[in-house]
Order: sequence, then C-alpha cells, then structure tokens
Amino acid sequence: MKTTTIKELAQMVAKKVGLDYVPNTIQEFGDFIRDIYPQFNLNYESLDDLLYYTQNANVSDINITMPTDVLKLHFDEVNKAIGISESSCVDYFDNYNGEVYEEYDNVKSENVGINIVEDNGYSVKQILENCHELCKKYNCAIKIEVGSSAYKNGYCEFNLIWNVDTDGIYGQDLYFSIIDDNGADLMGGLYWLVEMFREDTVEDFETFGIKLSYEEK
Amino acid sequence: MKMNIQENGQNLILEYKYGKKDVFSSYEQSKELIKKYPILIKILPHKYMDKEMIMTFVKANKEWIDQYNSLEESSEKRLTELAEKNIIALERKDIYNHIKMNALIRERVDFGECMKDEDVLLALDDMEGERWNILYSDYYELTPNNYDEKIWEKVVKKSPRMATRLYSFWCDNIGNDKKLIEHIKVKYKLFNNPKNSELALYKCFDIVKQEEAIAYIYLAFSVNEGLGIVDADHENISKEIFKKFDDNTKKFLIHNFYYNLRFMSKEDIDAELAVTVKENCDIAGDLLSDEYVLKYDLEKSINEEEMQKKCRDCQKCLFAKCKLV
Repeated sequence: MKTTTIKELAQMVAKKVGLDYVPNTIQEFGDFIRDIYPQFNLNYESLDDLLYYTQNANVSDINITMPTDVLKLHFDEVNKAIGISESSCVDYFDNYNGEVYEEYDNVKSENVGINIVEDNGYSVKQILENCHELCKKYNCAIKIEVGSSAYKNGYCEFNLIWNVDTDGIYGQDLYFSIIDDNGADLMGGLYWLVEMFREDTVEDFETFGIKLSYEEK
Repeated sequence: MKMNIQENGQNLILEYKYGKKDVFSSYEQSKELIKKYPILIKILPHKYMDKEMIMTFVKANKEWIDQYNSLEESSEKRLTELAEKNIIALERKDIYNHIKMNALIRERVDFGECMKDEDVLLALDDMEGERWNILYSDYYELTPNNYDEKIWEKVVKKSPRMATRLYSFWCDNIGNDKKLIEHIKVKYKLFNNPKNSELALYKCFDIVKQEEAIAYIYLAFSVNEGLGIVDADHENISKEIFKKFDDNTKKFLIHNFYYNLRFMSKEDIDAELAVTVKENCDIAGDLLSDEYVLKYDLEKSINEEEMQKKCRDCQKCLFAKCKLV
C-alpha cells in the first residue's frame, strides 16, 4: 500500500480510461468520477443506493458532538458555524437514551450528536475552524466525524475523526485507503472521498494530514 | 493497470471533454457518428445542428429508447421487489449501461433554432415513445428563444399531447409578460390573483382549440400544481375551470379521466354516461350517484385513500396511461 495524493489518484483513474487528465478541484474530480462511472460497468445511482442500503450510511454525512447546552443556549451561533439550517436533513442524537430527534430541544444528555446528513455547502476545513472558535468562546470540546456512519466495512476503509478543543484541532489517526479492483471498490472509494470533501480545496485537503493510500487488488 | 475499453459514445464524450480531442471533423462525419452514437448530440457543435442532423439523431436514438423502455417495463416489478428488501440491483445492468453509453436517455439538449421546425418537434415528441410523461419532456428545452407560437399551433393539431409542453413553457414564462397577464385576467375575468399556472392554462386555451389538446392542458394543469386529485384548494380551482368548459369538452375530459365526473352535477350524468363509467372505471362506485350504485351493484371505497389507490392502479383512462399518479 503506497501513500498518494488526490491529484495522483485522479491521474491514475483517468489513465485507466485512456485519458490524460488532472482536475483542478475536488469538485471537478467528482464530476469526472460521475462521467467515467459507466466505463467501469457501474451505475452511479445504483452504487449510491447500494452504499446507502448496505452500509446504512450517506456519504456526505458529518457528525458533530458538542455540549448540549452550548447548542441550546447559542443555537444561532452554532447554526452559523456548522450550517445546520443550510442542510435539508439534520437530526440530533441523545446519548442519554440513544434516541434520535428532529428537534434539539428534546435532547436530555450532556452531549448532543448533530448529524448533518445532506450536504450544506460547508467545507470540512470551514467546520473544523468554526468549531475551534466555538470551543475557544465557550470553553468546550467538540468531536467531528466525517462520514460518521460509514467506516471500516464499506468499499474502502477510512477514519476521519477530529477532536477540537480550546487549544487546537487534532486529527485522530486520519487515514483513507483505496483498493483498486478496476471496479466497485475503486470507484466506490473515490466516490466517497470526493463526496465527503467536495467543498474543500485540494490544498486544504493536503493540510489535513490524512494518510491517503492506494493498493492494487 | 489500464482497462480494455471498447469505443462507445460516452467514451468519445470523455475524450472530447477531458482529453480535449476533436470528435467532429466534418458535417458528414458528424452525421455518421450521431447515427452510431446518438448520445454525441450532447456535444455536437452548433454549426452542425440542423434539421437533417436532428432527424438522423431521432431515428438512431429511438431504437435505443424503445429497447430501454421495454427493459424498464420488464424490470419494474422485479426492482420493486428488490427495493422492498433494501437491495438495489439493476437487473441486466450491463445492457442498461451499454444503452446509456451510446444513447441519449432522459437528458435535455439545446436544439437551438431547429426547435422552430414542425417536423423536428413532432419527431422529438415521437422519440419519447411509450414512456411519454405528461409533465416532462426528457429531450428538449423550450425557451423564449426557440419558441414559435404558430409552429406550436400546428404541432398540437397533429399531436395533441404536445399541448402539455406548450403549457409547461407558458407556466415558466408567463410571469415575464405583464401585458399578457393583464390581457388574460380581463379576458377571462380572473381577478383573484391567479397563479401563473392558471394564467398559463388560459393562455394555452387561446392557442389550441381542439378538445383532446385542451384535455391534455387541463390534466397538465392539475398535475403541474402538484396537487392532482388530492388537494381541496386545487379541487376548487379545477372545478371552476371545468364548469366553464362546453358540454363536449366536459364529456371529452370525463371520457379521458373519469375522475372528472366529480365536477358534474348528479342530474347531468345520464344513463349512457353512467354505463360507460361503470364499465370503464374502477372507482365508478365512488363517482356515480347512489341510484346507479344500487342499480349496478357498485362498490364504494372505504375511504379517500382507498379510492385514490384504486384510481392509481386502474389503467383504463388517459390519466392513468399518462402515468400521472
């Protein structure tokens, strides 16, 4: 398994379909993935559904765990920081009874898990930085999991968890592994990668320190 | 490891888009390519887009679409079963993908000025085939730049279902024409702040005259509102409009969608019509008066929900055939 970069991955997959192409942004890479899907005899829509049904996960989800009172007392600020109202699908997880609520008012536990399921136009970098500001202001800690419900048994393996506190932003064993099988494993992995970081720039992605690795099956 | 990829339409689009390769070198060569891979119409340079080219595209693409439609028909039931088990798998995925790589399936193309040609419009409409839908044109975009009212008058006469495309165009565009809005409001005495969808309806009534086309517009109006047969407010507007039609149009609308019978007063439903409805409509027991329900021993639905389900499942009138519900 060798370490690679977003651009190398894009070049590698472009070569497979006979193209010499390097995308400038992660969004362009995402568009490219969509365009070349059928060349791998895969159906984009069905693969998305397949991931959803088999992993019970949505590729663009992000889970943010923070003190419930920070959310309740400063909702407008938290909303602005992580884009709750910008997403068409958000729910709140209550650690106390394991329930998921549509309204945060119902949460009883000390910490609440805010699950942003649909893309809200915020980059991962933006959310991390905004959460850091919240931690400094309210002297708290926040945990951020990208692709929170979808790790370790999908088409690819990854761990994308950050712990943020008043002092800084700390990645927790960040890695993303892609297995190249010339088919669903490869395209599924790339699909998740570009979906989860679609709002980030390539340069910002590189600063995260995620160990991006690639291996031929 | 590079894959062994056969040439196909999608592949050529990739080379054009990402490899910056010229796919089209001359008009004749482009026509041959379109014949082989109709999907390439998406990237065809405008200088080559003319009537002959579109007709070539339609002929080639229609064969693929027919194949795709028949695959979808046969797979629908199976797919529903799979979806219920949370398993999504497109049966005959390889054939689906093969078609999608070469044909234009449910994607809109800008045909530019060629949309002002009667033959082109009729051919594009015909290409939609068996799975034609009252609301959506899957293959062309109608805009103020390529709209020609005189041509649309003619095409709707030949293919009444195309009136729904005309209606959709006016729904999108009537809001930009204040003068026209005022004219329609005065002409049809619409003084209760009518929505664009209602104004578009009357605008289309000004353009098309024959009953079948009017019926299509009226049905598109019902569905376009997203309300169809379920919303009380829309029901009132629909009823008001229905009442304004002459007797012939009313009958036509009823015969194409028996559910419209609910807008008729019971005394206007004669025995002949009652027999027709009894024989052709699964919710006849809900639509006809008690006199006929008893006479023909018809069943009433338990509730509104059951009635709507029965209406949806029935495939006997135009409403159902258009896959409206």
